[in-house]
Amino acid sequence: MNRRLQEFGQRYLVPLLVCSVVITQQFFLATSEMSTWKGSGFGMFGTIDSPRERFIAAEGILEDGTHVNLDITDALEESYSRLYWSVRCRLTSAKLNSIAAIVGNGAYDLEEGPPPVAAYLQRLEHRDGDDALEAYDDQLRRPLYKFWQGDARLKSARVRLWKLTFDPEEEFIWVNPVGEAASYDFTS
Amino acid sequence: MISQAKRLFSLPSHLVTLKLSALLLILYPMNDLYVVMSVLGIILLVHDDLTKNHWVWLAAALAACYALISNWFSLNNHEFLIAYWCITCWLAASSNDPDKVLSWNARILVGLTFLFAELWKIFGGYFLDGSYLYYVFLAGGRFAGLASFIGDLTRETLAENRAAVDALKTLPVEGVGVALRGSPILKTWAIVFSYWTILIEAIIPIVYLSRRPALLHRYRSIPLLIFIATTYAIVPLHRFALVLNIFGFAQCPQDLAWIRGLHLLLFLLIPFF
Repeated sequence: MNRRLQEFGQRYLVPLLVCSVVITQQFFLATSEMSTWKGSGFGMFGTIDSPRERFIAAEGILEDGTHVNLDITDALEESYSRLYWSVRCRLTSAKLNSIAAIVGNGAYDLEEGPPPVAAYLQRLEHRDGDDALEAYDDQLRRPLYKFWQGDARLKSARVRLWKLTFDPEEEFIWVNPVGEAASYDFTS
Repeated sequence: MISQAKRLFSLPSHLVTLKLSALLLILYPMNDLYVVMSVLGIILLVHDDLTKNHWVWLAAALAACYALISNWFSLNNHEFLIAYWCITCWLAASSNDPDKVLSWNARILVGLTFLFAELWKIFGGYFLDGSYLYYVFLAGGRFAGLASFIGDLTRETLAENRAAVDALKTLPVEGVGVALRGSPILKTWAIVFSYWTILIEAIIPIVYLSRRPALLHRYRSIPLLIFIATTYAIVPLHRFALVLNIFGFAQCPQDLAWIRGLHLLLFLLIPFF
């Protein structure tokens, strides 16, 4: 019996493990916002939804009540790289809340000049044919603050995970949110 | 160096496979337990008796599984493969016929890896029409040199595409995007490369998982070697290539020494690609 079990294990333990993990990946893909590249279902290169193409964008309200856009990517990549990578691999509200708290407690510096996307205003389009600039509403007019060792502090912050989508026919790349946003509010 | 190489070739096949696997643990330990994995890799390498010691392989397998469980959603696919392979090495080291255990599991691992990768490429929605590779060429950055060479686009245009995508990320609005600057020839190349990948990744699971036709099954390593040589010369995924080479070496019929030699050669060359 033992010998037969051992032989069975030697032949089928690893293949069964591989298949179980692949099935588990399908479960997590169906029930959570996980990148198809992750979870070991061998989905890498099958879609553009890799964690590297996911990103977190943030906005906040300064202590004086000014609504601002926040540039948080460098700070997250340098000081919270593991958490940032983890939330891009698979979004959970707990992880996004942690990032919202980090962003909310950060110190910021005003970035001079227009936001980087302003350089591409002529090329921006809305996927549904709406006016892209209207879709931005007042966001383009808001000052941009960089998460760094600055003097500015936030009253509240809101962060959200995004991913890219690509249409090869029109060579058009656009952004879509992943899951719900998370907020951090000092007044609550 | 030559005497070391001769000694390597004179060793039993399973011992070479286990030593290459130990080397992999030293070169590319899994993230959380890199010290433990490296030390285990060194222990496994220093003496042939230790290389075959199933307790050391059990420790490596447990360490690899711990790293998997604690970083399940963050790890790459090849890191899962390394964990599966540590389990296989433990099973082989505990067995009376380690060559058979290594060969069987390596063959199935290669077959299943490519089978699932192929299914994703067919049903994932981004590979069959070339859109994944087209996007990577246009804005991925990684292949800017190749894309510029084959795609009739300057590196500046490709850098501009990348900058536009990066700018989009700083202030995202749902549905808003930017038209990238592409070229019809690059789109054609993206489709050609996509179909080449789909073809070679379809052949590999067929010849690895099916024993018929017998001739293709016997020479199954050839498509794997072609895949490794053509893919990883362009795509910088050295760890995946090394893992596949170990699997390829382990499952290759003993009498096809030249194919085993090619796997060893690629194992040594890949870090220089």
